[in-house]
Amino acid sequence: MSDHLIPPALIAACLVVWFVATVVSEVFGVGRLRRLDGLGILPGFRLFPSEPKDILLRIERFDAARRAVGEPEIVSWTVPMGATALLLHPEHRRMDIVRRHVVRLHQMAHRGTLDPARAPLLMGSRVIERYLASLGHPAGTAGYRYEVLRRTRDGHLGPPTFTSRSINL
Amino acid sequence: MGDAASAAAAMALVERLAALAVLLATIEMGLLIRLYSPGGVFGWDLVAPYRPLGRWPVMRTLSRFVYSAVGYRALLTMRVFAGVVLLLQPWSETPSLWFRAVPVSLLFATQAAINHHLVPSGANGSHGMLGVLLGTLTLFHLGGSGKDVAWMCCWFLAAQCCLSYAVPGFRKARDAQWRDGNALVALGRHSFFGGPLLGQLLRQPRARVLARATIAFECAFPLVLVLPVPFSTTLLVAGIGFHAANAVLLGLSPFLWAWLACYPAVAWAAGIA
Repeated sequence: MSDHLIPPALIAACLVVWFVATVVSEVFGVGRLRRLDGLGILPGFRLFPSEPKDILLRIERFDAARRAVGEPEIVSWTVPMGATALLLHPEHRRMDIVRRHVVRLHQMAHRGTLDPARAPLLMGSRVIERYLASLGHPAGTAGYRYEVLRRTRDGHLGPPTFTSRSINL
Repeated sequence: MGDAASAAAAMALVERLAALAVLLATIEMGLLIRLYSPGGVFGWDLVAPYRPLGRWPVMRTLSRFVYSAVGYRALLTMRVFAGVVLLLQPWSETPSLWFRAVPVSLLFATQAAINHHLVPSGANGSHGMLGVLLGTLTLFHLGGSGKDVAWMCCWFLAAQCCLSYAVPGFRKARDAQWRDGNALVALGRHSFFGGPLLGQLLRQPRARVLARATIAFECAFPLVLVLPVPFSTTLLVAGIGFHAANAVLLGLSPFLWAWLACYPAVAWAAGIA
């Protein structure tokens, strides 16, 4: 067939460059290459499940009374998962997208693909703020704080690896 | 390896399976559109400061429209339309270049737009693999959909697919937690991926056996290209089982469809079809 818009030789060159970029990014772990990949076509195969660190997120709410005695309330939540997961496995309806979102930010900060000084604090706090607001949590003096914890090898919770500042809704 | 003529047939099957994967992913995203719209937890306004499109003045205005609630609905509608067109294309006759290239290019462009938005935090491996599939299909059609281009594209997809198993496989093999199965135990207990059923299933010593089987399968997958047909077919069937189990137990269903779409190219490269 001769009707083409791009010569096959150029297609071959594109595919070779693309594959080499993927290999370099994957095998040699060049995070910068992935950061340059605005189209998301360098897949990032090494991210999951090769790094199954059990990172947990805990949100604590401090209202005035609890703050006085230093006893926070731990807020819990669930958000529905998507349709294809629903079709296959009803148990996964109640997956926690917000937690995944924030945990993902922290994973990326650990890998150096996001600026750890800015991203978790700004984005993570805003995500949680939005989610709590959508649940109808009262605004005002109540403050929230979130922590990221890691499960240790023996299954216990380790100390927080990140603690946000108090978030006021 | 199959001949160049059968590579075109393999690419036709890749295209239909990729269209199916896109349709399912689009329906999923459509049902959760409030999360992706401005104000949602995946809203563009949150990630814009960290993405090139959100930093350049002209693109900032454009991206504000593309990633608005209306823009996202339009984008998802276009994806459904293009996906259905690809799925319904007749197998027996070859449509014109434009009829082939336009829907695939549209899907690639919209996938790139979605990836650009979600890569900082909300994307997963299936987004990347769909980008690879749709980008390859776009190049295939822009190159004329001929046998030679099909040959190149099939090899490219097969190589990407092998890489997608081998890289995490060898990383797991180097990780003591994976080798002794404790990583799978942690996964079973994980509040996001796990659950009562998985927690029961992923216990020692079963977890160690499953973890080692996973490592062996992932590391061995590239051999699909050189092993005799009965063994390579077994590896592909194991791959389908692996993704189906991940979909049912871990809720990673988008991975099943995205990786399944690569398998015709792998089967062709392995000489199975």
